[in-house]
Amino acid sequence: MKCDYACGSDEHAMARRSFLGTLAAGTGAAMGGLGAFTSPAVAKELARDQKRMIVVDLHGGLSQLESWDPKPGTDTGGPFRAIPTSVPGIHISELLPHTAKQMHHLSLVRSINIKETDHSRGRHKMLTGYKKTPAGAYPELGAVVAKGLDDGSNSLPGHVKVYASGSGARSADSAYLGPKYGSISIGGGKAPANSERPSSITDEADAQRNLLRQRANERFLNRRRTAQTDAYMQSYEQAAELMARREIFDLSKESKKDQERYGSHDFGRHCLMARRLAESGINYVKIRHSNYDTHNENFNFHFEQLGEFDKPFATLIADLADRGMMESTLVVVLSEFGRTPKINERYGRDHWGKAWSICLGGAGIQPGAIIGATNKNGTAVSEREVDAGHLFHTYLRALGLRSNRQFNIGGRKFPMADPAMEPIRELLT
Amino acid sequence: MKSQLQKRCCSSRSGFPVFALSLSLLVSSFAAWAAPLHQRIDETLAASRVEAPPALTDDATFLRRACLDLTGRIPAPDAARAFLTDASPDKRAKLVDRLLASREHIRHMAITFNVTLIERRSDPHVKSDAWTDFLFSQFETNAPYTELVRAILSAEGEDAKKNGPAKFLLAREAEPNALTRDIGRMFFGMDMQCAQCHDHPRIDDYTQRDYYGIYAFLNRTYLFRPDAKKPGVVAEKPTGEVSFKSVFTQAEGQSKPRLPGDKEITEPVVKAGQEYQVKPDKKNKKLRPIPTYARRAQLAKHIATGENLQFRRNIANRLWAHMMGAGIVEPVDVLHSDNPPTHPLLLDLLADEIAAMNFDMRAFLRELALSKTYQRGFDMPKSFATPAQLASKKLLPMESEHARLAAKAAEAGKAFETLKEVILKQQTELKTAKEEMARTNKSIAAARKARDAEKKKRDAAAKPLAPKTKALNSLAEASKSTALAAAELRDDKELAKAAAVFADRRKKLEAEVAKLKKGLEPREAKLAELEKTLTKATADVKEKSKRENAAIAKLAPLQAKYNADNLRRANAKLAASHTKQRLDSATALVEFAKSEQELGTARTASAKAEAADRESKSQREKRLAQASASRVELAATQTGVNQILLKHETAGRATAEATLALADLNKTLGKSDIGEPTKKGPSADDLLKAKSRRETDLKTAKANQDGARQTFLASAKRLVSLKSQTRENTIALAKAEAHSSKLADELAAAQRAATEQEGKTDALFTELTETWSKRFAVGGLTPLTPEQLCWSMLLATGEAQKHTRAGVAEFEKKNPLKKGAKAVPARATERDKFVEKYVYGKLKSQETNFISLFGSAAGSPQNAFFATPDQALFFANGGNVRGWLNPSGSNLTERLSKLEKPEAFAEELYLSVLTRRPDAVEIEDVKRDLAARGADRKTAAQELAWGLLTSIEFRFRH
Repeated sequence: MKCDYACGSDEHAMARRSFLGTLAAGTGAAMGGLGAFTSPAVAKELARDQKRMIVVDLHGGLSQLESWDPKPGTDTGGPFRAIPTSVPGIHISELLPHTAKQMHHLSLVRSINIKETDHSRGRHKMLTGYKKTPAGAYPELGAVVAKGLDDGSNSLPGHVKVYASGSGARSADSAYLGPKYGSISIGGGKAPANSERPSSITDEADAQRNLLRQRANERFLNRRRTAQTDAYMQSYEQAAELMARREIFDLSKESKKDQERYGSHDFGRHCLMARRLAESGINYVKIRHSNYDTHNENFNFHFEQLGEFDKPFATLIADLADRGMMESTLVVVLSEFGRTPKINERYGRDHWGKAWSICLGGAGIQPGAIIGATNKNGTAVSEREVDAGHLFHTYLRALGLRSNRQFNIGGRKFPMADPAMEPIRELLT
Repeated sequence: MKSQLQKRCCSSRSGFPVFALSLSLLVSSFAAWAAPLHQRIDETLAASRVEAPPALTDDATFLRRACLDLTGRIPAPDAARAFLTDASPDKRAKLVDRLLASREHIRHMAITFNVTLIERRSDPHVKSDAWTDFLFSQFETNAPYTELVRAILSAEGEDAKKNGPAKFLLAREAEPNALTRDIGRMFFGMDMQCAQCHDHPRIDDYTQRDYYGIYAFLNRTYLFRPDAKKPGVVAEKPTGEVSFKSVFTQAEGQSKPRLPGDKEITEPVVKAGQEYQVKPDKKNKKLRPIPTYARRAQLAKHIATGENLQFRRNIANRLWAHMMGAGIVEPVDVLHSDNPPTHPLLLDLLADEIAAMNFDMRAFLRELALSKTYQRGFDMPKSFATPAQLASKKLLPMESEHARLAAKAAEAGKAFETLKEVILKQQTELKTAKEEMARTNKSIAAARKARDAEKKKRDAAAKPLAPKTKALNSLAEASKSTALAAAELRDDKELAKAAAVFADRRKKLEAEVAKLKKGLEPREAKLAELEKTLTKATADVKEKSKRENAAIAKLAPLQAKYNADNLRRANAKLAASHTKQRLDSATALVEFAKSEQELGTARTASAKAEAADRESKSQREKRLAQASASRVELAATQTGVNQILLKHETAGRATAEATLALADLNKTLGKSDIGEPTKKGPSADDLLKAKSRRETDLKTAKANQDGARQTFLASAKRLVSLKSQTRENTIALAKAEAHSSKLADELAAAQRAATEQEGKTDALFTELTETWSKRFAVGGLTPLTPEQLCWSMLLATGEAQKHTRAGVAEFEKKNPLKKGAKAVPARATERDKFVEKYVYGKLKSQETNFISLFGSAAGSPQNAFFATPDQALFFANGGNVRGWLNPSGSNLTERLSKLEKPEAFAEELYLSVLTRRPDAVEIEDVKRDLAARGADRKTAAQELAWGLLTSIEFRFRH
């Protein structure tokens, strides 16, 4: 008995025709992409179509009650009040006054139940859309987005994580999608590994050895040319382009004024870096803010942490909107889970996956919307329950990717997102 | 055992009309004269070939190929030079034997199996050294593959110091579903993950039954952690059965342990209370319980017999892929009839042969290496005309053959679907019967309960009856004897009284007993009733169990038929798709040849159009010259005519003047007598003279005018003719231009057509090359693995040799040869062992570097190819490669920079990096490069070496 539940076509299999097209066009075609356009007007025009994503990971588990779903005046509400936002009818915690002013660019999902309360399991589910099992590894959101948005023209890494410290090396979070989409973690303004040529090799020597490489390749290509040989040659051209553009990882190139606006602490700098990378055509940027795991003194900590988070984040949203990038940039603020409505004896809140919220906006997300709701004191979802898989589909759809399709990796087929799940359609424009 | 295996081998290919190369026959009588396997490989491939493969590859390519495949690295330059200069005819076979006997071969196989089985997972339980040491020792002793698998699957890892073999299980946390999936993939070539929740949606061959057949070997297995800080141990529960339900069809099933395509194994009945060899101890949580009967041990045992067809196919296919760059089935873990092997007969031949070799992998690899198929050239032939002609003749018969087989496959598929429906129906019937049976059993239980309760009540009621009856009996006896005695002794009053008492008591008791008995009667009746119900229910159960048994009996042959029909379906499909593949390959060849021919035609047409275009262009030029010449003449003539008209006009004016003057004279003359002079005026004589002058003037003017008129007439005539000529010329030019532009269009069209055809032909050629390479008719192109790339770079640059020399020195220092003692072969073996281990230890961290850059993510298949900018950046700017290319000691760049002659430089460079000698063009190139660099040989050496190390030719195996 055959079932057709998974009959998506292989959209991402390399079409023979386009492969041959690349062959015919020669290696020149390997360049191109945003970086190849010298006219800023053209780049701007194209940038509007090219989608990208910024994820702000509030590490440890943000309290939904002190942020997106406040319940003031209830037994679980805590000391903080709710304030109105730029969208009539939407109220968020008073800890987020700047963000409240940007609410018309953003939306909230208040009915998440991921059924996980362990940091690593929660994070796995939120970032892959799948429950963690020992049977197989799933690629992280960033890898899926980088692959889905990769039209073969961009030499820059598609998946970047900005940390306080990072080696510039690639990690293996892309699972079966392959190392090309694994994240590069950059920290302290360091560019990707080996992207700077050592001083011992002169420009001339470098040009010369590359000519020798190309000469050897030309000879070999008379005998055999395949998609793999093309990809291999392309990787050198992409490397050269990355070297030429490595200053996109250099935050000091941003104006003093902008650096001041975002603030001198790590999170402010990372928000500015996210803006810079998104503007440079990097498909996926994840930044992180720690630490929200407030088993003790939840309220002090959120007061302090969100105090740091609010302004740079609001500045990022305002800047993206000002620059016309909001229509093409999906921004998501997420955690591995929320925090318990019940306040424990240490004035803390514990791990909670049952009824919590995220904030997102931009690209194909309808602005100023609220999806779902929790009950009066936030102890359960009362309306439109969603799981991590639904969110995963929604992100991909918002980026213009058909999330029900499959990737074809070396003859094996992998669904882009959990085929048992669906996007939150009413949240999409 | 053997005959059983043979039967299965034969039935496995019931779809193919083939000579059964059954295992037992091979082992016995045939073995004596059967051709070696490598020949039969070539023959089997040739028998179904529609391609025209190129000749065998040259020595250099073979050397590089064999070294990469058998030792995981290119040869050192001196070894390459020695092989290339060796003139002995059997040097390839000798090379293969030498490589197979090397320490590097053991290392390469250990690495290969590590990557395949663990897929670069890391786990907290088994240190990777313990595991790779285990693999190394397996390949060192050339243990049979079945032995390796048995060791891996039966491992428990109880001794943390020797838990290497348990890595396969422990790296997956001994989790049954994770293990089922990977055992399916790695040992049976079947990725059945989808079948965990339902029959595979797109693959008929993979059923939920198959998945749970393997799963049932593992469902009792679990990770036992005696100590959270210490490695886990594999443990097993004594009980637990497996049932499953499709999330699509809701169909349910149960499975005992079963290997794919085989029958469920028979399991011993373990008596209650004897489940454990080592019982769990609540007080000692660190004690690992051990069951009396372990299912996982059965998996190891049954797999290790090597009898399972899918198991044999899998390892044969994987080793084939290891040598040939691609499997007969590709990807190697998607082995089923919807992804058919390129050569089913070859796959089965290899599957049987590796079993016949007792799963000796080294011997098997040797046969593969010696086959012509392995040594097939890498370059496509230059001409395809003849083979294409041959292939085109085969197309029609192959098409009809395919149609026939496809119909057969469809029919077998339909029959199987029908059977599945019947089975489903029967399963429903059995389920109903079982449910009824359960219901009946329930009612029996109820009836029994009611009866027992009633009986209890009756027994309670009857309880006083027995003692009373007994008392009555005694009393009756006593009464009787007392009465008799009283009758004898009539006057004994006391006695009489006693007799009366007795009689009275007896009567009373009799009444009591009678009453009791009467009271019991309805109870007895009720009991009888209940008894009857019970009997009826029991009889019912017999009836119901008959129905159940009938259903079971009906299902049993259907289940048996299921396996047979499924095999028939799969085989029919396989046969059809095999023919389809051959047909496709032949079609690709024919289409390419046709396209190439059309390209020739298009090119001829284009050349012809070009000639015509040229001709028409020169014609047009001529016409253009003519037209402009006549236009120039016309213009000139026109000017001439105008000038003549001017002359005529002038002459006309002169005539008029003269006429006027004459008339005036005449008038004057007419007023006076002629000859008489007037007082005031000229004399008549003068007037006459003037008149004569005027008359001459008039004559001249008239003559002039006349002349001009004549000239004008002639010119006007010429002008008319010129005009018409110019018109004609202009028309002719327009025509020539139109023609020329038409031909130019035609030329452009012809050129476009030729270019298009060229593109099409190129595309078809690429496709043909891929098809042939997939079908092993021409050498393929595969990327080096991270390890192969690393070790090859280390050898090419001379970095590895540096450590080898150090290793040898270390060995000699540790084992000095006594003075006068001769070096014996055993010592050389010891030294090789030592040196390989030494070098591997020194350079392992480099391997790790390459893996992190070039390997796939942990837990994913490791054969996908990715080219990323950071890999290129690593080669371009990374310190490692730069260090290896820095001239020092006797490494490549140092050696090169010392070579004076460009020819010697070029040879050393190409032999070291690309394992071949440079051709004439390449030598010339190197000459020029060196000349350009002048005295700076070291920089030149670094640049040239880098250029080749990063070339496609180095990055791939071909």
